[in-house]
Amino acid sequence: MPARVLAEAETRRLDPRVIGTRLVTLSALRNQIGLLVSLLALLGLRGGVRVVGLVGVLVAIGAVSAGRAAVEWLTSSYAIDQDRLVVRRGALRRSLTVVPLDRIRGVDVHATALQRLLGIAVVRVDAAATGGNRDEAVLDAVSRQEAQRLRRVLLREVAAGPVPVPTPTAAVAGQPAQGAVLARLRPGWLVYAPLVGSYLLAPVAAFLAAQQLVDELHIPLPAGVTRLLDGRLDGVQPDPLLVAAAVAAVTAVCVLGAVATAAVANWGFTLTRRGPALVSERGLLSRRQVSLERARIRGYALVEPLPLRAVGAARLLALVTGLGGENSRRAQLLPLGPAGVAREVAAVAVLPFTTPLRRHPTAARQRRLARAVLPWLLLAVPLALLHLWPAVAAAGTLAVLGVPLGLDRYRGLGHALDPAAVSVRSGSLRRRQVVLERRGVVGWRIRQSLFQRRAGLATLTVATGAGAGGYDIVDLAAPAAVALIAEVTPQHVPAQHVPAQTSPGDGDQAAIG
Amino acid sequence: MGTDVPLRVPRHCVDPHAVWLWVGEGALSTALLAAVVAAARLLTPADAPGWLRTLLDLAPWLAIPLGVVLVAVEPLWRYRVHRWEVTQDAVYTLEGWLVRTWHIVPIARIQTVDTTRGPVQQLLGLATVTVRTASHAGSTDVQHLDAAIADTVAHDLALRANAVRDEVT
Repeated sequence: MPARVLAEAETRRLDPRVIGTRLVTLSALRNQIGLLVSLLALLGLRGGVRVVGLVGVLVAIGAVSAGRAAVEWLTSSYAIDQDRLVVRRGALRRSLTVVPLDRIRGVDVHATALQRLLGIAVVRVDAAATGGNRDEAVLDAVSRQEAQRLRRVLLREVAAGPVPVPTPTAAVAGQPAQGAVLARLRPGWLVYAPLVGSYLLAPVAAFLAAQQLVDELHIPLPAGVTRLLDGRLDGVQPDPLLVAAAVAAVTAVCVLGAVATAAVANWGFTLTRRGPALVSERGLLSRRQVSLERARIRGYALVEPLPLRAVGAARLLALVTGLGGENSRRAQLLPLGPAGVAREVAAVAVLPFTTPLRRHPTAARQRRLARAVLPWLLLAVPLALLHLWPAVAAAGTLAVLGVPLGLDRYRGLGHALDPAAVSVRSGSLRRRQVVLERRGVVGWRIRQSLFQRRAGLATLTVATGAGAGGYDIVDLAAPAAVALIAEVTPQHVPAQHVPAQTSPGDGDQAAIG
Repeated sequence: MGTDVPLRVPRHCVDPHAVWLWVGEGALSTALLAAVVAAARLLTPADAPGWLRTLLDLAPWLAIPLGVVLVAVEPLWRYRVHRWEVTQDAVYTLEGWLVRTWHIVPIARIQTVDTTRGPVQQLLGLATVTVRTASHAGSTDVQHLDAAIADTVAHDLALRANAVRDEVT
């Protein structure tokens, strides 16, 4: 491609095929909800033949939507002009969006099933101004080829800007070349989906939605099914075989539903390095392509919820500045997969971290146990006073289960340092190991409660502008907390202070004057 | 055998008038607590279960010491604990009474510096300086400084943060 690609300032139109997506789709119906409701009400009043009327309504909606889409298409345009992207939209309410090219942090390309059929895609440009997840400019929609061209042009200009900060030390032997695939989701890994809460909830939600739809449309169901759904089982003897079959059926539906949800969301997931960005692509019906600028990635989080950990699987997310929390699907580097593969991908895509994690003092174990067991015991007391024996039994069981939980939580605690990064791990039900580049640390917080003071522990929070904003190193020895701060940011430990030398096992402490 | 966090305590105390502010907050909490207990005692019907009546009888005996602690003990304890300091590199704060929290905020990472004065603070001539970074956990505030000192500190921090700002957030 010629170097001065940006010399062109020609204004381009969106792709006319976008009108096809506005004809009769769910979103078109949603947009014309007023028209829809009034037309349907009119039909109801007239009491005319249902089907013909419904078709008429759909045609009317389609015509109105097409008209509006055509007007929008005529009045929308975009141009890349010197160092900015300019997007114009609207006829009655004109809007002009200007995005400086060096503020662009990422370009996402998304195509729903219908858009894929038509050969178009939606381009979303994420710029630094707003922060969070809000897009700065949206081009809905351009042709597939144009979307890729835009992505390359907009991101390459970012790379040509300020000299990128070199990744500190830890030279990875054999960095994969540009365009190399760093990770690929094998279809077999989708079996892990039922172990992940969010995928499991989808079939449940779908079932509830279907039930509500059936109710509202008054679709007649066989009497037995209605009785079952309403929970009215009086007068019907529950046949144990039937109950077992029903439970098995429900479980099978949930499992298959979870796998299907995960498949639709993550089918064909690939992670590629392209220029200064990591580009991930996924989706079965809708195809979503997300680019994450490498300069914004400060580390990664390896998440192992208990069900996944039991089978040796994990999820991998990047810690990206301005992208917030771990619920952002955009930051996924590997949605589901064996833990070993996840670690390899993390090492290649972000940075390798092989230092073994240091365990926390045994006093931390007592604290984890106490916190897992005591609340239930304390709850059981008033429940016993109220003679609510089933609740007492439940609280007692949870208290007993708290013992292995507390022990596992203690085993999950750990932290480590290497020349380039800090790593923090915690949790049992939701274990998460975070590896954060040292340059990503923007501050520290130490919390010490009365109990922690007596036990000689403290909780150190590593503050960072990426991901969740702060990661807690829970219950480490108080002197070790200060030593860690001194090791990572020695200039920020107040002068005239020497952290007490703890056990020689705390190897890499810098000497502090 | 307890171990304190072996960080040198920051140099400056907060303004002594902060004690009155904390006393006021403690008094307000106690008043609210007393009102809740009194209302519960008045509104409970005579045929309430025995344990509830015992609880309500005990409540004042629990509330009074709690109130004393909130009004007399906590403010003085906090005054002894709360500290702040601004050095060449960072802003250090220490706050809390039962749970103590240290904050270390490097000046190079500061994004915004705010000074706020609530109504009670204005009466007492106090102000709070809030220092924000890219991380919520890494942001801190220095509460209840003398207003003039707060202005100077905020101004100074803003200037220095601008001058020293890293490229990398």
